[in-house]
Amino acid sequence: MSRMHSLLALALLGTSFHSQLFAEVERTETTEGARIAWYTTWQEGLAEAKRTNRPIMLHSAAPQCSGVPGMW
Amino acid sequence: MVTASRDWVCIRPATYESEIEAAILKRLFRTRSGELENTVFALLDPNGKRITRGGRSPSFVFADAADMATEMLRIAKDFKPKKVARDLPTIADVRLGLNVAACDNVPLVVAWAKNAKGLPALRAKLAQAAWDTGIVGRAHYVIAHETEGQVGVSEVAEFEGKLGVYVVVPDAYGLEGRVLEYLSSKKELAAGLREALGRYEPVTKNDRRHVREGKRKGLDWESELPVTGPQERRRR
Repeated sequence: MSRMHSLLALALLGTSFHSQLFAEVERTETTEGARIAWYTTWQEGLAEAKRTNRPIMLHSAAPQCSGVPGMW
Repeated sequence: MVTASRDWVCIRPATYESEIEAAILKRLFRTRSGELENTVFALLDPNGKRITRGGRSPSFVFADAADMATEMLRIAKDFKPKKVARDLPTIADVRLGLNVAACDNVPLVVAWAKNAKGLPALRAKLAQAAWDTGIVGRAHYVIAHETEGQVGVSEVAEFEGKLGVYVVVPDAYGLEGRVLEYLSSKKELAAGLREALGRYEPVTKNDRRHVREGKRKGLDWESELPVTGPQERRRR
């Protein structure tokens, strides 16, 4: 397989895993309905991390799909 | 994953909504296009320095959600969290808040203060309720008054503008909302929030149908910055 084909295959594979794992992280919740509590600004989140000595999980996303809002 | 996340600060900036954040995101992960793209993922220490390599999503770094949760639990042991009350995660204004809440299929809680002086007290009170075990992560929050954070409040039906807390149901596209419940800020908030969240009915969305119907309606979200992700630009 040429290098270009290999890279394309990897990109497509990464894209499908990206969608699945991103969706899994986004929709994760406990049986009690609790979910990940997201800080939505870098400034607030960083301040909280420093203040509480917690590491940061950062995952930016655009609140629109193909320009249509209401969906990541 | 939810359990693992409690020892972390989880930050999800809305891409293309802040120039300052865009610069930070580009620094954390250099995309092939060289442009800011829709998503960036990284694990960082409390000072914002990278612990793992960055990527477009967790799948660039981890095999699956279980792998990610295991690693997050392991890393968290290196940092002893301080025993202080958690701050309230907030969204800049009602307009963006409605959209983000719609994306997550949760209500938007709008705490309305009389003026800027009233914001810190209202924030602290709401933070206590927001981190209650039965509430955490089940809503998004905006703290606002007449001149701050108020953009978009005119799109919320039955919003009265009196001091207090409004539990707002966003429409499917996050462009409008309606008040599900009003809670006086003079009373204890956790019980009222729990009750309102229990009454909230999430909308079932099909990705393709949502986008197709949205395009048919002519909906087009105007972000603060131009969309530069190559895949997203091709889809528009």
